[in-house]
Amino acid sequence: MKDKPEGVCAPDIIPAVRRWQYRTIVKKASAGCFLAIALVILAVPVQANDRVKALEDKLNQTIKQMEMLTKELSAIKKSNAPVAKAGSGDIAKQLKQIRMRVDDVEDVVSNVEEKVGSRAVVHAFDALKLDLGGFLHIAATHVVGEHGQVTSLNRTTFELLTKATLAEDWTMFVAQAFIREGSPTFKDPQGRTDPDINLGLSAPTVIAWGNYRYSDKLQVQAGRFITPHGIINIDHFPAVLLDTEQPQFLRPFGGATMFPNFVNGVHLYGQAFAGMDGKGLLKYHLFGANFAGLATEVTAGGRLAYTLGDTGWTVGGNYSYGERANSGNRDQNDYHLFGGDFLFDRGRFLWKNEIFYTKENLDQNRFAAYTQPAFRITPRWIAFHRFDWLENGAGFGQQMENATGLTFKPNKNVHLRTIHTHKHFFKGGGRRATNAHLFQASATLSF
Amino acid sequence: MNISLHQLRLWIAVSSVLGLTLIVKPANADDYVVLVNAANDIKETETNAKRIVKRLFLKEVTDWPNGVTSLPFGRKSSSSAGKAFAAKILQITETEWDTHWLRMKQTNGKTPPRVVGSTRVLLRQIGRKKGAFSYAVADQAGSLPSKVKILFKFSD
Repeated sequence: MKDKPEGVCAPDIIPAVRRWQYRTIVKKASAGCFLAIALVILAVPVQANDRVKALEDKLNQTIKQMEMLTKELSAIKKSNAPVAKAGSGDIAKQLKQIRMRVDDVEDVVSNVEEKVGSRAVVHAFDALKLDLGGFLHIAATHVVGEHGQVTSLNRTTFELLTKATLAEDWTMFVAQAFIREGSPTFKDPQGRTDPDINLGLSAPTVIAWGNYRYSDKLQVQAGRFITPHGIINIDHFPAVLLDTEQPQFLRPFGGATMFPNFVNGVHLYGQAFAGMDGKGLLKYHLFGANFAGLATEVTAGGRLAYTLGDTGWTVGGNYSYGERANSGNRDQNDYHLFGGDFLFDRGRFLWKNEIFYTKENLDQNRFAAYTQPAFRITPRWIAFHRFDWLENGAGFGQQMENATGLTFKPNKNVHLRTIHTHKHFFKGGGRRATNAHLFQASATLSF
Repeated sequence: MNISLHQLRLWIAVSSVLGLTLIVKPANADDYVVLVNAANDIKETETNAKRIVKRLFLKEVTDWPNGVTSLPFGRKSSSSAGKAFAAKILQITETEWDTHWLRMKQTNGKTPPRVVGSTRVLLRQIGRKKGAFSYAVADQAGSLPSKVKILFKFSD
């Protein structure tokens, strides 16, 4: 429907003009509307593009932020990764160490349990440390003399060794023996042709000393101790000896053929490394004591020994002064003992040598010497020979022994031996020369 | 004598391998350390220190040269450290070891050093006494506690 424009008249000309104006106005209005619509139409995309652009900008910013966050996260991850890895490694390592420690502790517990188990634990009344040891020595001997022969299981000796550490520098050591034994003797009037063995029982306290250690250079021992002379007397114990019968001058056990084997008194000793680039070892012993068989007289002396570095050689000198018990006049029956000893112990060779001489005031002077080379065939087998000479001052002639033996150690606690000894008595003092043969098998079990 | 390039290369290769075999330490050779208490101010040359350690370990002497009373700790004789110590420092065989201690025990009651199995326990023991010492595989000793130090190293 078309509306007439307001104020327009309708005469003939006027209507035509008015129609023309109307048409012009309509055309113009139409054109304006069209233009407006066109402008509107054109205007809408422009606004949308801006929003899209704005959205795109925001999106880009967000993406950038995300990228930044991603980078940061990556960086954090990267920085944390080694820590985490190392941390887990440390934990594994610590765990492994803890397991090892637990294993160690379990080993210790297992060992203790194996040794103790359900048994009672022995405690010393009052000592820092208490060590017990000992040995059982058994020997069978066959003696062939000029006028007979005997066989006997003649030695069964058990000794209990006890050492107590009372304080860091104070110790005590006791060797208590329980002995059932008899040495080969000869029952003929001259004491050299008709062999015999008389078993006897005894329970002597062989050693009992207290020891104070000031330093390696000075220690003091008091009580009953082994007379510090020579080599074998100091070694003394059967478990470490090749021939448990010992050289002639140390017999009888506990006697004093040349010097007392044991004494009761005070013993100062020490050692220091000197010479040979610090390899040489100098040892000294000084003692003042009583011999058990002569309790009121003093025996005093000493020993000085030097080990020549790693050469295997040890050289010793001995001196002592004492009294003999077998005299009616003790005060005049004194003696001076002089002795030397030479030890070589290296590799397969073990060579012991001792020589002693006494100058007696009343009795005849005495002389004793032996040489005992030994060869270690293997670490467990040792062969030895001892040549042994004794002039005991009795005036009945010298005595000589040649002992040849083979010893075997099946383990560290067992020492087996077989020994042949040829004993020769020289003529003297109205007694004739003769020979005897001793065959002995022995075993020493120690712990 | 003509040697081809191929032969020369082969010769160099073989020589190199042999040379390396001689120079390079065997793979199973271990390094060991003798450990002492850090408070023990012993200052000796390595040769002297080895000699002193031997005497102290065998209890032939009981004082370090500086007057400190020694306290040796042993290791299992079957362990690699035990074997290496016996061979290189003590320089004695098993039988000689047994004979030595039999004599020491029976003549004066001295006993072998107490054996400690665990290296960790060993380090603790060494740290407790000024004169204490022992030995261990270098790797096992690891980072030592402050109270323990190395006196010297040795190889088997």
